[in-house]
Amino acid sequence: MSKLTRPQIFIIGGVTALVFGLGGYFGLIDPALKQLDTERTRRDTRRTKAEERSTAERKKKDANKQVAQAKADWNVYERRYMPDIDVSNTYSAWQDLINEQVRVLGPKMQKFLDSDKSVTKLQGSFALPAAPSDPNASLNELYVFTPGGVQVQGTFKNILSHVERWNRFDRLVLVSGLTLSGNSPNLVGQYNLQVFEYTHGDRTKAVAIPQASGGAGGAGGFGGGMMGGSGSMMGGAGMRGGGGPQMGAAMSGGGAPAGGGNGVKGGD
Amino acid sequence: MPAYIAEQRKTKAAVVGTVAGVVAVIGGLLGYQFGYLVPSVNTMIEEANAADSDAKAVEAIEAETTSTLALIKPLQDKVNFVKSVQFHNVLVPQIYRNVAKYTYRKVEYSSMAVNGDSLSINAYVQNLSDVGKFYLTLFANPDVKSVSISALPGWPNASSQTVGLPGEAPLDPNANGFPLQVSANLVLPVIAPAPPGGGGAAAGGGFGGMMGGSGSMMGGPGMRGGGGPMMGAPMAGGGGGGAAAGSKGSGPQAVD
Repeated sequence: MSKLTRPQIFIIGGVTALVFGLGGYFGLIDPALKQLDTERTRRDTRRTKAEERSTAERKKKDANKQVAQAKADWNVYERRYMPDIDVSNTYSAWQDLINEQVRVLGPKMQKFLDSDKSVTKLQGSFALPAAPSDPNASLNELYVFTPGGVQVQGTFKNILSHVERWNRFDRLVLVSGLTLSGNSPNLVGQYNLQVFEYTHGDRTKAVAIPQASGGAGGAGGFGGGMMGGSGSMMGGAGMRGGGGPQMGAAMSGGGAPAGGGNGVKGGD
Repeated sequence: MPAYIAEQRKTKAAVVGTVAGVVAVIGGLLGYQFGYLVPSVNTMIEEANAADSDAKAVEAIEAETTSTLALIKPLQDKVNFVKSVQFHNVLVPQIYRNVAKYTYRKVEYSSMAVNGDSLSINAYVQNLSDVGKFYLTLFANPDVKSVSISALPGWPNASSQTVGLPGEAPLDPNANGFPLQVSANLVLPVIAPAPPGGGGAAAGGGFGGMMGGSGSMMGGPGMRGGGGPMMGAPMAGGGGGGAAAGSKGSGPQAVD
């Protein structure tokens, strides 16, 4: 050391200080400053978001109002046009669907058509398919029925009024393919009908009813009993053989509605 | 004191001073780092985390709002579908009413049908002069954007003396009338609404036979309209239930 001159010592010291200074800055201070900036930016951004709370709450309230309004709007049509089929319960949904298809919709349409005395019905016998034999297949949100076509005779005015009258039917009916032919007052109007029925309820809550695998006899007996009424449901050999245990298990597991064992909609 | 000793002391002092300087630099850096920066960063992280949790709460509300709003669309779609069906059920009758309204009174129709944006009419006219009037009158129909007439007779027209409508005797044996086929494009196409989502368990069936009487459609003796002006707002206005007041005549017929 004694050989070093003072200028050399100062230079060495200066360089050392510079090296430590730069190393400290780039190794410690600069990263910390960058992290500080990052966190500050994050804080500011998130604060800005957090300050939107009142707006978000207001929007949520508005959304709830809009949903309530939309539900109210739909309820008007649902009450007016749709049958009461609740798909949150597999068994009752099936019962209601069968009832709708077999006992309600067809007769109702026929009655509505026949009640219009302003026109003469030339053709208009409706037909609806059987309900699904598998209860699990009765959980659709929408059922579309094509009961058939109608041919009526009357005056121009009466036929057109007759067609528009379907808007007053208590199911949602689409009239399509209206054609007119002939001459008034014996004009012939032809059209097709389609019926749309929305169900309600949350079908994700519906419990699946197990189906007998390969038990064709059981399933057949069950279906027959359902459609035919008259106690065949309970008395059917197929039902007892294959379907009985299946139904029992499903009903206890699935919380089937009261009276579920009595056949479908009064199969007495 | 010898000069070299004084020199050594000065050198030693320089060393000590230099080392002290270096230590001061390092100490300053460390002091700044751990005395200010690290606490600042920690504080900032805490503030950012707090802001983050508040923001997450807001985002949760927003997500809830979004999922709530998502409930609206299916309901609105269903409502719109019902309205569309109701509108569709009155649209075609209203188109027919307007056709009747804008039909020259001496023209008789034997059939009318609408398919999409196409209106097809089978008509019967007494003479060529009536064709022109019929054309102009029908073209004034606000539901119609174009009209074409086919099956005009040539010369010599063997059928013009005898023809009524296809397959039928002439309406008036003394008339020189002839049938016409009229096609028109509608301003508002008639498209049956489809349920939202296009879903639905199709429970089909029913009988065909709807078009079974098509022979009579073509062969009928023609609609004899009661004449008289029809009324009602033109359909082009588009109102769903805005059906016109209805036709006065018992058949599709119209103005001069």
